Amino acid sequence: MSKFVRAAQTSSSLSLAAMEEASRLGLRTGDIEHMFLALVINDQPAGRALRSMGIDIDSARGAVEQQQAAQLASLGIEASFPQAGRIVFHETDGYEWSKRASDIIARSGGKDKNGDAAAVLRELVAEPSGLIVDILDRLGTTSHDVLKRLDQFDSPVERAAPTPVTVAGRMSGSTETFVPAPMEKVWEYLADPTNMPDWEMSVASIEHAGQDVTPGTVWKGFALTSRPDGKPVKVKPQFRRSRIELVTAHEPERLAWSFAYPDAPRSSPVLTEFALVNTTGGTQVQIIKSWARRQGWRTLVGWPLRPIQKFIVWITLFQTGGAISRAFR
Amino acid sequence: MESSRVAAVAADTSDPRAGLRAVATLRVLADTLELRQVEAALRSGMNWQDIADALGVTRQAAHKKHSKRVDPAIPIPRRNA
Repeated sequence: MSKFVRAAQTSSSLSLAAMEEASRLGLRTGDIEHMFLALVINDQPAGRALRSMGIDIDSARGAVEQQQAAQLASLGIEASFPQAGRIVFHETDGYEWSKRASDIIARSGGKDKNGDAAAVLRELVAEPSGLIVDILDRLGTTSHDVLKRLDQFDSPVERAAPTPVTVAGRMSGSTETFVPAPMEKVWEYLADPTNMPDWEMSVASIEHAGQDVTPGTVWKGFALTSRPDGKPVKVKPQFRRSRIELVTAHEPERLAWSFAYPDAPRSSPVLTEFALVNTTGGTQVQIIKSWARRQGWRTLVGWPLRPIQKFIVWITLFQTGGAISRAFR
Repeated sequence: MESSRVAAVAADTSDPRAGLRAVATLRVLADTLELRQVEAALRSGMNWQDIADALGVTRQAAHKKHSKRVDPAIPIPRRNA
């Protein structure tokens, strides 16, 4: 994986998680404390290193809150931040990084730096305001200890990037995400078709939701027709109705759903597979989307479009991964 | 808290580094509360001009800062409606 791709993927996944954390506090600006929270739930070695020190998302959120309360008290102000609510990032707009946070991301991809989450964490613990040092102190650790632990987890052996998954004879794309919950709970969530509209963007509602969840069972899905603000969503008529089948269900480590469009007979069904593995402080989920290659002259026409297709697949995988992680926060 | 006590504690400048960081956190609190109040105002039917007047800024400034950030589910009255 090139440094540019790694830096781009790292900054997208950190931005998503950090803005989600900011959104539950009623904020629209992600600052360094939200970046820290995002690193705690990151799927790369940086997240594993922090979690191996006993820092989980709840204790980290608690430390940030205590720090802010103590600061307000030090000014003699008797006020508290409004109670944090649920994540509303995906329903709202107008998010941005604070200047110092975006500078940290920019520096982590600079000369002689990796651009991965470990590089961001290294920059973050060295930030000059001292806020992160104070938060670490409340979590019973220091920036020195974090860097030492990071070196263990960020060794070249540990860092060996997962080889991109290829499925024989099929087009495919894959991604990994960390979910702060035990494997069994994540499996149950993914196996429940009523949760599908959360993680599969092409499905807004499900029919026959009460059926038994066994391989071979088929559900009917319907696409989104209007946004929360009432604006209609443009979906081609043949893609409004989908046929959703549970293909594989090996509790608690494997699960596969197939999505087909019966009104568009030329389209090929997309297989979404989930592979779950226990990791420090939660579950690592690998998501693979694959579909059959088109036959005939269309493969040649489609060739130049491959990079665009790859990018679109990456976006949908990224959204699915983010949504699963969000469901457990 | 009595205002005199607030002044006494806030005027404590023995550790300016900690004091400055605390002030930054206070700004974040003010931003959080501002967005909440703007959303509440829009929900209650106030328009951008009313909100701007109450905040003491121009209508354009209030709209620029908040129009994208507020909950999109709130029906916002248009100025020329």
